[in-house]
Amino acid sequence: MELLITIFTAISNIILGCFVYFKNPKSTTNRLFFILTIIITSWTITNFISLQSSNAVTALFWIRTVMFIVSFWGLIFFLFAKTFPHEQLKIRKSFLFALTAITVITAFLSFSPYMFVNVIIVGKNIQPIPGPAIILFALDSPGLIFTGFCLLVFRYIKSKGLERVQIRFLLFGVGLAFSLLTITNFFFVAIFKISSLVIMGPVFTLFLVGFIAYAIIKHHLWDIRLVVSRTVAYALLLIIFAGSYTASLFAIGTYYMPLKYGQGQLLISAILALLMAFSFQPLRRTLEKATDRIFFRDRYDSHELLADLSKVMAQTLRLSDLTQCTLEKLLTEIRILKGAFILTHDGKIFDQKTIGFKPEPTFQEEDMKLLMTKGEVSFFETLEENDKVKEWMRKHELTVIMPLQTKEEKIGFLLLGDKASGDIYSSEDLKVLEIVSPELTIAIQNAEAYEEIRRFNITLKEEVEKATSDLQAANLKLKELDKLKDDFVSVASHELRTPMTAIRSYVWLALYKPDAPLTEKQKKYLDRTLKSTERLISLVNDMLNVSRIEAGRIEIDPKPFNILDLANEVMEEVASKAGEKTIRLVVENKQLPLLFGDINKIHQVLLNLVGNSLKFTPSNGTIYITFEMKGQFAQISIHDTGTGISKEDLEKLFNKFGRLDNSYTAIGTSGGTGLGLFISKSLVELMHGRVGAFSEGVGKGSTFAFTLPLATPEIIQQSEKYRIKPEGEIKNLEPVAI
Amino acid sequence: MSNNKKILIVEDDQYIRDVYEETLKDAGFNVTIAIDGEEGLLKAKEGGYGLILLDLMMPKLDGIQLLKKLKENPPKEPNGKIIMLTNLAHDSIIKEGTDLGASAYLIKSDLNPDQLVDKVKSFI
Repeated sequence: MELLITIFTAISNIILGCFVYFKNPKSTTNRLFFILTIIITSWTITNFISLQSSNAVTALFWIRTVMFIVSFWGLIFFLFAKTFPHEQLKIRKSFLFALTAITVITAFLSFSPYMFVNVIIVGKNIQPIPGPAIILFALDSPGLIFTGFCLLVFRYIKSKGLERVQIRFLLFGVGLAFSLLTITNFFFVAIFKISSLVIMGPVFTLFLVGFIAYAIIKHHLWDIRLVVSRTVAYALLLIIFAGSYTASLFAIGTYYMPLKYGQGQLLISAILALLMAFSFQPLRRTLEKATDRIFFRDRYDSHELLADLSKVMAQTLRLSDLTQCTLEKLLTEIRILKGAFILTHDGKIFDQKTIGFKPEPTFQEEDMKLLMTKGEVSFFETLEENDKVKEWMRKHELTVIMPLQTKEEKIGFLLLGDKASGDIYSSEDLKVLEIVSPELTIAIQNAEAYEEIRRFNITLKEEVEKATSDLQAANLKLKELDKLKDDFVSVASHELRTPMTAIRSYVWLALYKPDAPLTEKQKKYLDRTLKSTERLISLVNDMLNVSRIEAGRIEIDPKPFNILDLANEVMEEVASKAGEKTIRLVVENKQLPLLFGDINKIHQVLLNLVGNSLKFTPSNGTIYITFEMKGQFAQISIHDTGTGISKEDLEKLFNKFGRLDNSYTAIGTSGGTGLGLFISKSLVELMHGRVGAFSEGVGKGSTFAFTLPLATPEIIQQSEKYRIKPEGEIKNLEPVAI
Repeated sequence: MSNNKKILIVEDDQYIRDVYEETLKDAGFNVTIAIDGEEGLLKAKEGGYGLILLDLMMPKLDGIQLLKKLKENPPKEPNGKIIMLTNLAHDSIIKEGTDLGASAYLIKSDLNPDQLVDKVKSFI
């Protein structure tokens, strides 16, 4: 039983020591711990042996050996306590020399009679008799242990975070183990002379081992968790196999097949071995999973985390959302207590996001300059003590600084504090951070670019809106002006017409309702006055029409109509006037299909053309209207036997004020405004027709013609298309003067 | 043509008003005149006219407003047709007037006095 305990303790101590040493062979802390474990192991073994001694001589020898070993214990522990957790031991050389000297002396004294004089065996109880040197020992070993313990306590008080937790466990383990050990192995032995409890010694070292193991497991002391976990798994595996192998062998051999040695045994062994071989892998995996679950309780699935982070980074384009969400995700999944993003432009901080900082930290440009000195990830533990960055990290309680950079520039930093569990960042955590960081940098750059584009877009939109509203304002103004012009024209014509009405009326009255007979001269004067006035009024009317046509304010509402009827109607209207000049009016009696046009406007056109003919045809002349079919159009021609038109004049006829020979030819009989043909032309063209004038020459009469489309079913179907409906006010035409 | 020879002329321009009054009186009609919209409205409300010649462009109460008020408060004794007189070029005002009860319009500057008489005779 004791043997088992001894073996187990020895092995676990040594293994622990090896792990710690190989984790970081350069660190003095780790080295010292290793030596400590060697000492403990040696002590465990020798202690056991000493207790098995059968006689006093051997007992004494072994006890002395034990003391020898234990002498070094104190020194090593003290040095360990002084160094932990740093890499280097800082101690004054003289002091170290003195301590070592005392220890060595004590050690060698152990073999002398001064330490333990003799040993008395009383039954099973081995009682060593202490000598005077025991006091030196007491000062040296336990003394140094105690001092070391105090050092650790001081350090514990001063430390914070992870270090604190680790030291706590170390203290527990050490304190408990050593105090118990001192009690049972020293006080009881030396003072009370009872050595029965000495055998318990190794058990107490289990406390030490146990607590340290716990610190390793839970708080990642020396970061050998993975190794320990795997070792435990393997150890269990071996125990299970070895145990089951032996057990089955024994069971089969004894109960089922009491065979002799030889083939039977060999056969069974072979079968069992095969079974073992096959079940090795699965069992190993199961055990690994189980130990992983114990040792790595707050593990996360790194693949899942990376996938989640990638998703977040792909989905958010807004910079503040991106940094906030990523930070939250990272901190939550890896269970980190505090973290921050700092984003910079040319070293100047322009944004920061923090979680878990109390109070809200203010990072300065100098801080950034300092952090920029590190080109890659910085870990608090791996930095040198005199590193300014380490100091800065300690001040802000940060554990990881990850620069966010592309090949060209550094765009900021990711700062992380300790993990909630107190563990150190595992290599898996590092890998995740290393993968995330460049992705994050790009995502941040994208978000910034997007931000810029968005801002630019807004500015652009504003500019466009402003330009549009400017344009709209200008357009409105134009419309107003246009309307104003039209109103001006209307109002002006109204103002002109009012006095003209008076003139016309009174002149007429004077001419036709005189209260005394007029002389011929008076009649002539008044007549001419009246005619001029009438002409003036016509001119105002025509100018109004032209203004409206040009402003597009005339509505054209074409419908099918009968041109023959209209022509006859017009002729009726001018009949009396024609009668005055005894001019004959003829309309060709031809059956025509319906034409497509605005009947009111055609009325105007006909009236104008016939009126013109009346003006320029002398007495006893003839005016006749003929019709022709020209494909999809009909041509209406007004012929007269009047004065004709010369070739040069023909060109100018349809222009504004393109009168025949700019003089007042036959003012009595003609006296048109010069706008009539222009208006007619405009109207006909608005109805998709054409106008034309023909004449053989002066004195040979003239023909005015215009075409209009036939009212075919297709055209009627699409009559909406031919309609002209002006925006705003629609004006009608002033009546045509004859 | 009814036998009512009572005509109301509402016209603010004196020259034109005088010409119309004289011409129509000579043609045998019983002519009443109003020199602005307010007077015109009062007279129209009396009712009983065979024809009303209504100028549109008048200060204070213009032709359209008069028509509106007349429509709101028609006289007990109805009037005959209301003809709008205007020198304004065929504006939307004319349509408005027609909607408010006027029957037709005449452009003053287009008419010689004899033509006016003919038109009046055709309306009454």
